[in-house]
Amino acid sequence: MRARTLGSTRGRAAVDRVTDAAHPIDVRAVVKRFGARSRPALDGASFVVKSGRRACLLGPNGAGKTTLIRILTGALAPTSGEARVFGATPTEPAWGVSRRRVGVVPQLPGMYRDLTAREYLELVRGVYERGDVDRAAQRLGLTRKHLRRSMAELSGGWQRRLTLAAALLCEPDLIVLDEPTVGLDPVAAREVIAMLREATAGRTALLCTHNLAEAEALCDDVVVLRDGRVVLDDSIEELRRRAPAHAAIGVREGAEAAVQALRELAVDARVDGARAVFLATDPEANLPPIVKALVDKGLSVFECVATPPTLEELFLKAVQTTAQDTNAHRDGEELSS
Amino acid sequence: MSAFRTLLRKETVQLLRSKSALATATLLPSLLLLFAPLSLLATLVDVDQKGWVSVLPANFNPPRGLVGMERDSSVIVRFMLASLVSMGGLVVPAVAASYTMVSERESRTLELLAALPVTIRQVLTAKLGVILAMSTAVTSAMLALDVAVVLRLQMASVGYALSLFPLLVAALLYSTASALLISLLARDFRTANQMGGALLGPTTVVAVWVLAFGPPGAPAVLILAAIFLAAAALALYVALRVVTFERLLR
Repeated sequence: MRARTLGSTRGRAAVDRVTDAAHPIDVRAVVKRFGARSRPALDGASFVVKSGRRACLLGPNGAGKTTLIRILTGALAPTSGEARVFGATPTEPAWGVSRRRVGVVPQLPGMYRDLTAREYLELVRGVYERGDVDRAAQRLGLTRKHLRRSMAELSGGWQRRLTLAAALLCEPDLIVLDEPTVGLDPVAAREVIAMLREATAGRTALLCTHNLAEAEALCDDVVVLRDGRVVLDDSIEELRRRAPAHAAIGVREGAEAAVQALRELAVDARVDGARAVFLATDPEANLPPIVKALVDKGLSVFECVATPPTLEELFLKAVQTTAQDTNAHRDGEELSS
Repeated sequence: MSAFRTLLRKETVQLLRSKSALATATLLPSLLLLFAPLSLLATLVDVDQKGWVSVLPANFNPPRGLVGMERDSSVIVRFMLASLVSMGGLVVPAVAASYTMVSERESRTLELLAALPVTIRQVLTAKLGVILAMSTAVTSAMLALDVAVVLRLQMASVGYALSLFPLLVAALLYSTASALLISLLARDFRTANQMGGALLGPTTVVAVWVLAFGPPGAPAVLILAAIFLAAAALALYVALRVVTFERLLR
């Protein structure tokens, strides 16, 4: 809205150029304290979401995810640092234009009893100054019957569709989703994930979630927050490439024989059912020589499977590593003092 | 500006659909600004001057703002009317303003609005703006009726009668600003009501004290209006700069 006060078309065009060139999300050393003596909700968080990428923001309860989203939407101001959306912060003239390029699905919002679903979508359209209510509703499967009902009368799944329709109404370039499936039953959650997959295609997205399966299904990149700090920021593909895969080898002579032979090859294997399992970095390069060595030892290999680590494993590893680092750092500080 | 107009429209629609808010907006002012002053006038207009004096003690020494009340019943009419206008202005928007803001936070519908490209300040300004506009319209119409009757009965000068309007607006502004501050501080509607009640008592005492012990006539009314405006500015400053809207989103 402030950008409009620039007045001239030239000014508006300049704002558009600036915001088009910038990353959709650029968070730099953001600190947020609610009170001078309180523990920071965000403690120097920094990350970037590039155009067209879908990033998930993961972290345990109290990690600062919702605070970060509120800072990105301009609802809260950072204590220090800056969070830019399409190159602008809320204190800059270009913010109005940038903010209108963002659709937000809030976490478990309340529903008005005295407004119908259509009235709410009309309100959203009025605020964004663009969008087609009927088209947005139709895309999410909301019928005229749904639109005539009070927002609070809709079921949980339909309420979530409504908030998603509101976020997509303005055809945003960036969509921010704060725990979009929390509180839904598994069937409704699956439906919402399917809709999100469609809605985020070709858009930049930031998905804040606890649900790792949901993050894995919808996102390219992962940002892990812990105690207000970013402890991991990478693409899921790259993380998988770097992290060891779970390898399982089956031999006709039995799992014990396979484990014995693998240990002779200096591979730390263990028995898991009828298979010998171990962690293998770069399985494409390292597993064929291992299989060949087992065959050379006279074992009849009938199976070799490499399973990439799940996002859950990557997440837990990142969080545990940070916790150990933090504890080690604290111990060091205590010793030095 | 379009976003703010959209918010104003939403708040107007919701206010007009809220039976409790409409009841509060019409019943309370009817009681304080129509029923009470007109009943008082009806009682006093026929009082015999001697009869009026006879109910007062012989050595009665009225305060500065009520000098002459032992001879002239219109002094007490003016004092009561200004007191009722103050109370009407203080009470009418407070309940609706606290309710609409606290309920928006309690029901988590504020999350829906925080997700839109509008600021929390715009959201709350729209809410309070609509309540203030409706309260001002209803109470001003009722005060206009009171003023017409008082002028017709020659119980107040035109200047005094006109000074009641700024008093009413100042009281409404103070009430709305303090409701905003209370809504930011209170955890729930019950606490907001208790805080509002705790603030109303001392404010009413101050208002009555200024009217009774201040200079007689319109100056006391205008001084009270200035006090309300200063208190409104202070409440707004504390709400915006000290407490801040962030409290609603913690």
